[in-house]
Formats: sequence, structure tokens, C-alpha cells
Amino acid sequence: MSDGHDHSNGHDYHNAPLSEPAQRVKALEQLLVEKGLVDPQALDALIDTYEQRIGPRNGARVVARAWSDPAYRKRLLDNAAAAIEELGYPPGPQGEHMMVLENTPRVHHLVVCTLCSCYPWSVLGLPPVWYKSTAYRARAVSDPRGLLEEFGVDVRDKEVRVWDSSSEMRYFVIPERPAGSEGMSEEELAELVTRDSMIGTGLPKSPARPVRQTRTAK
Amino acid sequence: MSVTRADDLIATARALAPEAMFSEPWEARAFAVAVALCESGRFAWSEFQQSLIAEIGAAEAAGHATVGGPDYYRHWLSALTRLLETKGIVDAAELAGRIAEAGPPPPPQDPRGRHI
Repeated sequence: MSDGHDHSNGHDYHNAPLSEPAQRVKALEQLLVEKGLVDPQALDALIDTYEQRIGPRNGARVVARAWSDPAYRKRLLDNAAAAIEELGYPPGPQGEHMMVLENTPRVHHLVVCTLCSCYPWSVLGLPPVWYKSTAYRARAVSDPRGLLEEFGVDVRDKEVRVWDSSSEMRYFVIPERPAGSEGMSEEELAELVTRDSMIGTGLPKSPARPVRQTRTAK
Repeated sequence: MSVTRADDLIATARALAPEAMFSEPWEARAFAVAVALCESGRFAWSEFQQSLIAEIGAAEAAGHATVGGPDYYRHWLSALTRLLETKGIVDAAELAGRIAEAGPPPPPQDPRGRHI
């Protein structure tokens, strides 16, 4: 396909030059590879791991185990990182210091990182776009109830506690086990646990009725 | 920033590929380079975190809200580059030379067209 020289200065839809940040990353990566500090294949593997293997399904398994096994729940509350590693999820660079927050009928926990985007990678994967937004980071602190209303979480009868993550400590919410989930297996329970319910901006799915993808906003 | 404006920004951020971790391939490379260098002991994650906080804080102090996606990873890349330069792992001039070798980035879209 290449015809060798195509130094077009105009609009070239088919061979768009790299964007400015893409060029910067490429140059940085090449320099580091030449210095022997990074290995391109190791970078590919890292990206694959975070995109495919680490994600909120890990956290859902942790929550389902905690709902089913009181001894595990206690270990999780006492030493979250160790209990999470028990299920085969080692702490990543962000996961060493982790605290689990348990929602109750009286207390609802909400996690934010006001300064940047600290997030419990080992259980939730990388944070969603909105978690990193200036607006979420500001409003979780200034108006958490309003924010939760916008996310469709009813906290009228609850105390709301907001937790600001940092490089020293990351937080992870165990949502309340939904009514009607008695007798479900751990695998079935894990299916009810959504990513947002472990951040505090959502609730687990209810087993009583099938959950639709497109719920009409109220 | 008014509350209404904040609402709009969260809605915008939530609408942007709610499940995708990276919106462009270079974001994943920038992410992986930082994690790989931390794992091999070139810096502590908290050092990178402080650099990232400084980049995001400076942008927000200048009135540029982060909506997420590429603008967030621009901060990430700047934070990483700055940290590597500070630690003497990468030489700023050498890196600038490499970027220049790659040629000029695409010109910003100008609806008025080019003038000679």
C-alpha cells in the first residue's frame, strides 16, 4: 500500500500523523527501551492484564465471598489486602494499603480521590472516566447527597460517609447484600455486584427482578 | 464552578465510553510505561502520584477541568516525563530531540484554511 514518499502537508485522511501526545509517548518509550529500562513486550503484557484480567469482576468475587462466608468477611475487614490476595489478586502498585468499607442499613460509603485518581486497581481495575473528572472529585465532597441522587442511589435515611483515597490508602465498598439473595451461590451473588456498587455510586442488582440494561431515568 | 455546570461535566464524563479504560492507544502505553518503571523500582508509586497531583492541580488552578479520557492521560504523561527528568532517568533535551525527529505534530484544525 505504501508508495514510499508521501510528505503531504494537506489533509491526509488515510495516513493521519500521530497526535502530539502519541508522539511524545512513542519517543519516551523508544528512549527507555534503548536504555534497557522497559521491554515493549512487557508493556503489551501489562496493558493486556489491566484491560482483560483485572477488573471489577475481581471485586465482585471478593464481595460475594464476604457475603457468603462470615469468617472471610472478618478477615477482609481486619486485613483487606491479605484477604483479597487469598482469592488470587495480588496488590498492584496501588493496592498495598486497602481498607474495606461495609455499607449498612444506616451508613452509605462513597469513595473518591479528590487530588487525582487513586483507586483500588487489584479489585476494580482502572477507574472509569467519570471517576477522574474534576466534577466528580469536587462534588463528592461538596454535595455527596446530590451526587448520589444523580447516580440514582437513594440515601434519604442514611448517613453518607465520603472517603478520600490517597497513595497511602485506598478504599473499596462492600455493598449491602440485596434482599431476596438468600440461598444464592457465590457465583450467582457475584453477578449482582456492580462496579459502581463497590465505589459507592451504585447499588447491587436486585435478584428479585431481571435487571434491564436500559432503565429509564427518573 | 456552579453546581449545574458540575452536573453537566459528570454527565459528560459518564457518557464518555463508560467501560473503556483507554480512549486512545497512546494512553495505554503511557499507563504501562509508568507501571513498568515503578515495578522495576525506578520510583515509588507515591512519587509518581505526587507528580500527577501537581499536574492535575496546576491545570485545574488555571481553570481547565479534567473531564477524563485523553486530557487525564495528558496529565499522566506530563507527570511521568517530569518525574523521569527530575530523577535523571531521562534527559529532557534528548527526549525533546526524539520528539522533534518524529516531525511536527498535525496542525490544529483551522477552519479559515492556511495562509501563505
